[in-house]
Amino acid sequence: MAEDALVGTAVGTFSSVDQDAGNSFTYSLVAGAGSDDNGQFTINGNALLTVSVFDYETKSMYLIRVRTTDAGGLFFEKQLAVNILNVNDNAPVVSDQVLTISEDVSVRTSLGVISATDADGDILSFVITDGAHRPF
Amino acid sequence: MVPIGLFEIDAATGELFYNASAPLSYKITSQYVLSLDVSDGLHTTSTQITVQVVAAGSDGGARTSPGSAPRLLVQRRRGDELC
Repeated sequence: MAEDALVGTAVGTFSSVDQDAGNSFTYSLVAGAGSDDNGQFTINGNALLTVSVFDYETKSMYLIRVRTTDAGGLFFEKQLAVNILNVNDNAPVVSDQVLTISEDVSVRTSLGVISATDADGDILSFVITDGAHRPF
Repeated sequence: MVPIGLFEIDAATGELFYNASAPLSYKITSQYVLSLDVSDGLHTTSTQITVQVVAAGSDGGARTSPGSAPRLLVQRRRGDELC
């Protein structure tokens, strides 16, 4: 599921197979191995819903442990991983910078690379918007 | 104002170049200010880049050029004879 999704977003739905034909199942989040992030989710019917907003840059995978219980009270448990997908939700970060150049350069000269970062890891593009184009 | 083409930037790498299409003179212009946009395709962040022109041969802190002798500039007014 994508980061930034609203609380209550359906992550997916559960289904079960049972050798007893016509059985019905209920689902619950249970403690145990792989239940680390149970608190970030809730179950409504057979749907897994979020109870918080996720940020890929903070945590990109959540572990839950789900129990399916049939009409006779027999159950099976499984660990599931919910992967958070990255969304371009951060702007590039770049600060004002001062570069120096000697007045005696006579060929095309590099002043250095403008340092900029992006928390989403997006490819950045740079453009001079003022100061280096025709003044009229 | 900065002459056309004096500085350019590699759009993909962010490397800034002096383009050598016009002379630099510390005495005439010691500083240029460029506005720069950085985009990730959805968001754009603007910043200012200051380019300081330093005298030839200096390490960036010197105020005079060791290779340049003092010169006396004589300005001549119209109609005046220069003695």
